[in-house]
Amino acid sequence: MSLIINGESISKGICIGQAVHIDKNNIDYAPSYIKKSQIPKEVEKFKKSLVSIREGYEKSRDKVKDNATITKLIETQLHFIEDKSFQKNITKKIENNLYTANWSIATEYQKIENEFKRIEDKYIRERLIDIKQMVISLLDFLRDSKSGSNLKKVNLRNKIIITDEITPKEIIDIYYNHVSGVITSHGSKSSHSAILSKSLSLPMMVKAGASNNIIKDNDLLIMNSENNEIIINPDQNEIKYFKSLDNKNTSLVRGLRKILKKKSITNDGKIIKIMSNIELSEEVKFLDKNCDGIGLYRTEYLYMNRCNLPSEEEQVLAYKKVFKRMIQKTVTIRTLDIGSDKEVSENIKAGDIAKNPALGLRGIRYSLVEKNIFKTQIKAMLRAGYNKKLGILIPMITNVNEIYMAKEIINEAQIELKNERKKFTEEYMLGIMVEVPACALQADILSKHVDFMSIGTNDLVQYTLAIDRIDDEVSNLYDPTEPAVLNLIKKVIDACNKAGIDVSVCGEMAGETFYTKVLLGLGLTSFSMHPQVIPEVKSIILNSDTKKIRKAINKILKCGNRIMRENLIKNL
Amino acid sequence: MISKNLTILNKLGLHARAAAKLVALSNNFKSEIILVKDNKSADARSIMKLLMLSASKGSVLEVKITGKDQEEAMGSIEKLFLNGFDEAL
Repeated sequence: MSLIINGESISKGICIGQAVHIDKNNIDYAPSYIKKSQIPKEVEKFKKSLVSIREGYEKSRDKVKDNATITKLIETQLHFIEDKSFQKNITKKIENNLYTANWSIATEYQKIENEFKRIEDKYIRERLIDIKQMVISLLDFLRDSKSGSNLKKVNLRNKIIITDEITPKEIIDIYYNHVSGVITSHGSKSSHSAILSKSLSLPMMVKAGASNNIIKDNDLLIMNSENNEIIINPDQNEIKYFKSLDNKNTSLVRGLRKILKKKSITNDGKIIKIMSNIELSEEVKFLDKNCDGIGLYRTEYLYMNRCNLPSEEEQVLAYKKVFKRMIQKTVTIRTLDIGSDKEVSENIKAGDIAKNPALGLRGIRYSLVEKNIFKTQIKAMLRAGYNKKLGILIPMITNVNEIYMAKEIINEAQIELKNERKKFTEEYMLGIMVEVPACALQADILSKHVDFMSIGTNDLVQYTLAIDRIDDEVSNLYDPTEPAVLNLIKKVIDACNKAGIDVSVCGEMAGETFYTKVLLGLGLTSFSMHPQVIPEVKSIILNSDTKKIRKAINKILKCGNRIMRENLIKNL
Repeated sequence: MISKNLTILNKLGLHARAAAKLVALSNNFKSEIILVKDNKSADARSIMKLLMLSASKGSVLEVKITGKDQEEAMGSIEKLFLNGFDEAL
């Protein structure tokens, strides 16, 4: 008999596949012994693993010499590896107890873990993660495996992955492994991993709390996003039914695709621009010819899955790939936006010591500290944008001073390129992300210093309502239609219209059909969203009368009651 | 053997990076250097043991040094504590 559990769907459709558990924090505690004669060999093996891990870190450190933050982080990791008491205890276990190197490390880690759990200071306690990481690397080395993550060790083709949580980096890994879907027991719909899987059209469900315990490896699963349910070991009838539904969905999607060819214009004749958000330069291949350009190209992924920084040349190649497909269309590239939930790599973490990363060193703040990383990226953008329509988008702007400082670095980049006799564009557009309420509140002032603005609603909502969208306890309070938020968005749109500069919304709000008419009502004429959702949003735009909506919007802007407000929105 | 009570002054306490500094400094000396807090002791050359002391801002640690260069070592370590590990206080 089949069993049903619930989760929250990220993307649409039906997905059928076999389950495979991925335990990412895999430390094997199974006892294993050696013979007395093997002691020297086993100790040698352990020492070799230390040397190998240390060399890996030293290599990364040498590659990022210019970056003091990263260098310090690696230095600390090196101290863990060189910890004499750790080494001594493990050697003792091999020599006196005849444990294998693996088991010695595992038991020593268990001891350390117990000690750390008792530490009161949260910040110090959390360093256990670093030690765990090191232990996993050591064990991986001893198992003679070539790759670090055990995601890569199993054949994942057409499988549905079951795990606690998943990082954006892992989403990319599994995407290239042709996974069918992902189910996580924790996580959130608005996390970066979720956004990424949505944009890659990779079926994903989060908060399926029961998934880890109930689903077994090789169970057949149906992920039905419509009802947010996961059917475990469905019977033949269920499989038949969902397969037919899946086909129907596919034809529905095909129908919606026809919409893409139509001109994007409302019933009352207003032209609405619909652009795409992309995360990987490869995605541009899947974009429809009729899309109005790239409204947001997130560049974090260029910096991921690696221990060094992408060079200027490498970035030029990636950006050019996008420009090549977007003929005569604007490509808006956002400068590196790390911090908060966006962990770029083990080596590049903004605000490492920040207790509250959302309020820490992220976005432009990080770029102004690590000027060289920023300048290299700007130079690559300017070079790739030669003879093209380039928009440079700066994240997390809070005040006008940051715009001045960013411009100064862009000027420096141009002078350097001139001296290097490289071809680059001098006619780029400079824009800012409106994510911080302070930025929205002074949009009229800031509009005089930039060529366009892009409203990042995810963070704007989070900062305005003081809600962490990843925190399960409060994520239900996260509502982009709170009057406080809508009024801020309106303020920004009005200011930009007055100043005669472009303004668009690139946050998730732009891609969810529930909000489409609200945004039209606030006067928005430019959207940027995941390519996957364009057909649905566009079909709503085509059937909208902005004059009528604008009249009705004032009531919504004043309506504090969420249920009443949602009803008003549904009736727009 | 000499010993002295030293207070953690920096905001984040004896966290990974501060502990790493103490390890690096201790490696310059030959003496045995032990830190004691709440009946727990840690070799100043082991970053893990130092973290396990769970020494946050305001904690008082007894530093015990034994060896030929103990005076010199104590001087340097005291300076590191007084400077709050060169971090924000």
